[in-house]
Amino acid sequence: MMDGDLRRTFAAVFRYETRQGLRSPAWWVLVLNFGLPVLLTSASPLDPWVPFTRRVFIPVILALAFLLVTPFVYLLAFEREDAPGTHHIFWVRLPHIGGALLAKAVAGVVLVLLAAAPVLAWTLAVAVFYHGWDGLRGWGQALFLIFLPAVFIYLALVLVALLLLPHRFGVRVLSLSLMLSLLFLQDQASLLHLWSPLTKIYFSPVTDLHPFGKLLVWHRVFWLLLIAGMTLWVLARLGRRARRPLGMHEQRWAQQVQWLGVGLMLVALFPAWGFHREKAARFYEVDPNRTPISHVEQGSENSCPQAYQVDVTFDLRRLRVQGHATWQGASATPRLQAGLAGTPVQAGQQMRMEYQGFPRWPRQVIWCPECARDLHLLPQRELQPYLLGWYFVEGHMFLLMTGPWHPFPGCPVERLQVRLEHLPCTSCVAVAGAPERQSGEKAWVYLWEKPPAQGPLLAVGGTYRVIEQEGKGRRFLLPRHMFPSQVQGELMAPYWTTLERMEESGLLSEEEARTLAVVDHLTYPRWGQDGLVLVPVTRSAVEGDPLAYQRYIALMLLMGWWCQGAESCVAQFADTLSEWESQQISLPPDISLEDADQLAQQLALQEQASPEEVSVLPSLFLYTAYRLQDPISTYQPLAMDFSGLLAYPFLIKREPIVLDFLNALYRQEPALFWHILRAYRDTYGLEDISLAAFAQWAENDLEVMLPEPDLVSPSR
Amino acid sequence: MSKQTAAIVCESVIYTYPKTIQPALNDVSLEIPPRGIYGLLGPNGAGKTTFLRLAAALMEPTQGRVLVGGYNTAQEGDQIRRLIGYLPQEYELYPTLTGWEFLDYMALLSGVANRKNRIRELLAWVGLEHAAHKRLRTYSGGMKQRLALAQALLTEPPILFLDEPTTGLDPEERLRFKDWLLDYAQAHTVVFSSHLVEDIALLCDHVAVLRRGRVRYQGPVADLVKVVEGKVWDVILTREHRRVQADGVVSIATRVLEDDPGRVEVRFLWLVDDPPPVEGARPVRPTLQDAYVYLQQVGTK
Repeated sequence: MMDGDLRRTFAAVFRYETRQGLRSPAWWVLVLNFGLPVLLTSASPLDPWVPFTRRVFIPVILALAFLLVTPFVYLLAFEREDAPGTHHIFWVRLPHIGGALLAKAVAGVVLVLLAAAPVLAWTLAVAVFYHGWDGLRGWGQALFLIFLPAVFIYLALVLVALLLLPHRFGVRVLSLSLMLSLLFLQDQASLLHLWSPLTKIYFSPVTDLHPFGKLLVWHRVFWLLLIAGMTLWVLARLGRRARRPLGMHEQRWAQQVQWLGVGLMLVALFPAWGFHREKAARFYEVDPNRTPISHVEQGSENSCPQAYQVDVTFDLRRLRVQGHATWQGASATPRLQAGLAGTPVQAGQQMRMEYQGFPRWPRQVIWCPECARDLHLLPQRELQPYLLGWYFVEGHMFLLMTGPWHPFPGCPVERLQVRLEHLPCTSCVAVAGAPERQSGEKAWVYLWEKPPAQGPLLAVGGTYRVIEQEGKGRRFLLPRHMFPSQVQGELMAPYWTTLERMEESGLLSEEEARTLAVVDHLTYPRWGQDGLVLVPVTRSAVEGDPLAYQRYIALMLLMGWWCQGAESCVAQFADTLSEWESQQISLPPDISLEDADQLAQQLALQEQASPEEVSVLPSLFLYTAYRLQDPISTYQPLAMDFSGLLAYPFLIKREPIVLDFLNALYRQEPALFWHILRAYRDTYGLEDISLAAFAQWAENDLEVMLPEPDLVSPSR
Repeated sequence: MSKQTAAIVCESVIYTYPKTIQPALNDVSLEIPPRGIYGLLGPNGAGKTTFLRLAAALMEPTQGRVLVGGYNTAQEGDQIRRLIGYLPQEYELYPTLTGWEFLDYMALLSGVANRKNRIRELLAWVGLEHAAHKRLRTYSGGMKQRLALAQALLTEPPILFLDEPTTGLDPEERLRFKDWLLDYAQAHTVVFSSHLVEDIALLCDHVAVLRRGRVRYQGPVADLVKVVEGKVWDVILTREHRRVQADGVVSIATRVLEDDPGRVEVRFLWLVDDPPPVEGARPVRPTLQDAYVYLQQVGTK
């Protein structure tokens, strides 16, 4: 009977609440809330997808946040039965109060979803387009993140509005809803850390919510205001209702809710504390005990123990390290990173040390105004490079053999076992070498009988895509939607600026700076804490994880190529590309890197490289990716601003491209190449023209007959 | 009347609204028989609406108990809601719904079988077929009242509570409504609250007269006049000296004589056993109105 009553009540109330909602002006206001930002930010359907998506997503998320205000708008609807006598008409024939409450809440959510449906569909399409079906999950998570508190609030407000109902169910659900809302609201950021999938979304560039973004601040301000407003509203409502007829039970409810209101006010203070906590977390003092990289890079033969074996466990949720090491030779002095502790114990000929702890990271906070100005990203950006060859944060881990996560960093390990507990994802682990792997329900275990002596050992991450390459292990790729200005800004500018700053401030010697490279693929550096990773560049490191460094190396080479004064750069570039194309990975001599680097710097100093020329680097970077048949190039052209690159149209069409053409021309006649290039820029600036137009222009204006593209196109 | 046969039993009920001291109902005991129209008569604030809300299980008594159809309103509200129809004194209908939709909504909630026919029938009865598909925000006060009445009758409830139902109806509608109500009450119990004595006199078999939360009279309407028999007098006075001033006199009505506009007939209650000290006064046959005034002013239970 009760089930039948519930169904009947739910069906009737849902039907007519929805109908009345759709007819109310508030709903159309809501539609505008969702639709207008999208319309206003959609300047042109021909806009590149990614920037457009970003422009859509952010307003949508903002609008969704604004949605949380709409329950107040909808109070008018909730108070439909609150007019004198009207609630009597309604409730006197209500067979199931719980069903009515549920129906009102569900109808409210459905109305909101209907209002947002066009925008949601659009963002879903974009998410799937850029992230594949994985994007569906992320999209759902993002919406869930946004909608969950809205639903709670909504439900709570419905129940508060119907407080007079003579039914205890309402009060119970009300109390539960409010408590859950408060739990969720008290500090979303910290709560989200309890659930790593949401953390990824929260820190995703898609939503633009990140620890350093203003959106997060506003988000929290919004919650503060919402809680305070809701509290005042509840109290005001109760005050007003107290003048109306109340039964005995209702009086008791009113008292309960008044206490809840007081609790709300107190809890509302909690997010405010979150600001302080987050601010504190963003700045780390330089650890005076920081161990210079050179000290942990390579152990000397005398200081390294014999028969050194390590067995270590990383708990990626608790960020706890626990392990033990055994070795022979008591003279060696073990040294662990701050936060890890253990005491060696001698057992016969063998030394054994159990160690454990929560590592503390010595970080240097470096203010990078150049980045902000140049990149227009985050004006208050801090860079926190990790210098010790490993890091270990929520959802991300990166180990170099030389990291002090084991007692003798830099010393050869005979046998190494790494156990990973609470992996955030099972497909985001990259390892060097060929360890034996055992996977269980709770942990993955890697066993190296012959671990690499140095270089990257293991990486865990989540924001990038992982691609299996036959015979070459895994590759980590940047998210598809990352576009050139970001690539440049995230991967290049911080790197250079950081190094310069560190050198200037004496934190890093010149020698040290030259041994650092950017591990750009492992993390998504924009969002800071586990962002920029600097690790020593060594030949072995590259051999251990070649593709991780290819982009970096390619970038260096491309920079050299672009500078007109270094003919060797071009040849080097072409040779390297050829080698990469044939999958014969080889590393150019370090000296070439330095040459390229110096040449680029020299150009910049002599102001021979224009800003446009500098800006073309990402395009060249992409070109490299394209030549490497990196899947990133499949998506990037649509999203990139190629105004600095002549070859833009051809990149998309995948026809013989101007860059190839020019490169081939250069290899035939370098002087002519530069002459043509300079003249073209003088005439057209950064304008794109077709290859045919380019050839015609060269013939007419320069009286230069260009060779046929097919004749000069390099092997592809 | 035994409690088993009474449709509604109200036992020593006290109800006090929050933040008030004076009870809205004070030690009220009533027995309302099944079938027929039971009137609740009293001025504003007498406790009529409070009683109906308690009987409709919308509120719980502070003390005492109310049984409707044998169910206790404090514990068995669900069962009671299935028995009753309720027309509140004041209400607002959903302005964005049409008349038809409103009735359909209420019918869905009440689980009315064959509801389209029932709605059509009720709309015809209240004369709103032509406005069935207009939004309620466009309805006049009388139309809303008729529609609200229709919703109260959707389930053809055995017990019908009507709180000042004739308010807003024009004279013709009132007549039609009263006529219908008399028919309906032949097989159903109707509790009808009003402050108009003539409505009660026309419709009700039994009546309870309330004053400031207390029952001043309950019983057959026909017996109500007995409480003032021998206490109602009238006298012809000049207009200048029309006030009857003496201890024990309660003025009821003053009427200008049609054939002599300079003089008036004054009707008054005389609460003392001796003849009134007014020259020319004569006793007259009391009416319900006299009894009502008596009960409101000085009457005893």
